Amino acid sequence: MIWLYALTNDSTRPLPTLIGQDGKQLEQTRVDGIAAVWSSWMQEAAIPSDTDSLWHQQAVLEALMEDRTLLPLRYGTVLEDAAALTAVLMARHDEWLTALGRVEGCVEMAVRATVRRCTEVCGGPGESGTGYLTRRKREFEQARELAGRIHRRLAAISTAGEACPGAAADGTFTGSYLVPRGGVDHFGQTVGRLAEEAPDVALVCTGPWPPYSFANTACAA
Amino acid sequence: MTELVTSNQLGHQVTLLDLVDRLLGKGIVIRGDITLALADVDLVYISLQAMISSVSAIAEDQMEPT
Repeated sequence: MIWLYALTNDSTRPLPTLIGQDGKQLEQTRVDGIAAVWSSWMQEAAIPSDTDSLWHQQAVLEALMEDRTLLPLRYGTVLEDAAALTAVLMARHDEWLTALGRVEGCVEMAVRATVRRCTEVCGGPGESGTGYLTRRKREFEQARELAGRIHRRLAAISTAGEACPGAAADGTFTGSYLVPRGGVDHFGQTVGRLAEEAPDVALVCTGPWPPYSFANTACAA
Repeated sequence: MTELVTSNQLGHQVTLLDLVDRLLGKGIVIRGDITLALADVDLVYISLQAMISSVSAIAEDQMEPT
């Protein structure tokens, strides 16, 4: 079995010396300008589910991301052998080459916003049912408006953006943004400014990540 | 991973939550029949979500003027 990490469009550079999930060397299989990075995987069934393994997967992807464009594969993707991988790479070659082109030179930034609730201030024990519903409606609208504002600002400085403002009903918003490598600092500064402008929102930004959120949408076309 | 642009004592947990979100929920799927039974991860994920859902309360504490 082989454990897969990522697709990359650069198959000429040497792979990082980092070991893979099973303690084996990283290897790659190339097909006409695209490559898949993998390592031998001895176990037939159990996919490791401890957080160290998750972080290790991330470490491999980060090392690869340093000098090549990549699209991460879903964690736990295993195939029979390199021959099976070659067959998949050949079958989906054009689709993945195009997808890699879309994320070239970019990284992903994640933003999570939580609107501070004012339950204790606004909703005292004497609050009526109607008052409660009116307040919740207002809070929902405010959260949705705020999520939209955050998303528009960040999408404007990104190559692509994917937001989940639907979660705004409970006062949270998550967004993923595809940002050129050179734009990471500017992106962070923009998040910082948004946080200053909206003191009633807790904003957390993580990254740069490999472009996880743009792997499937990029491939959908 | 992790240049936390906005520092927060929950930063590490948020980062882990973002990691789990991405590793298990995103990325290219080669075969449609992949189903992962990662019970441990599910537990971590659920507890993280619970923790993060209280982020606003903790953030408020942090934002209290000293």
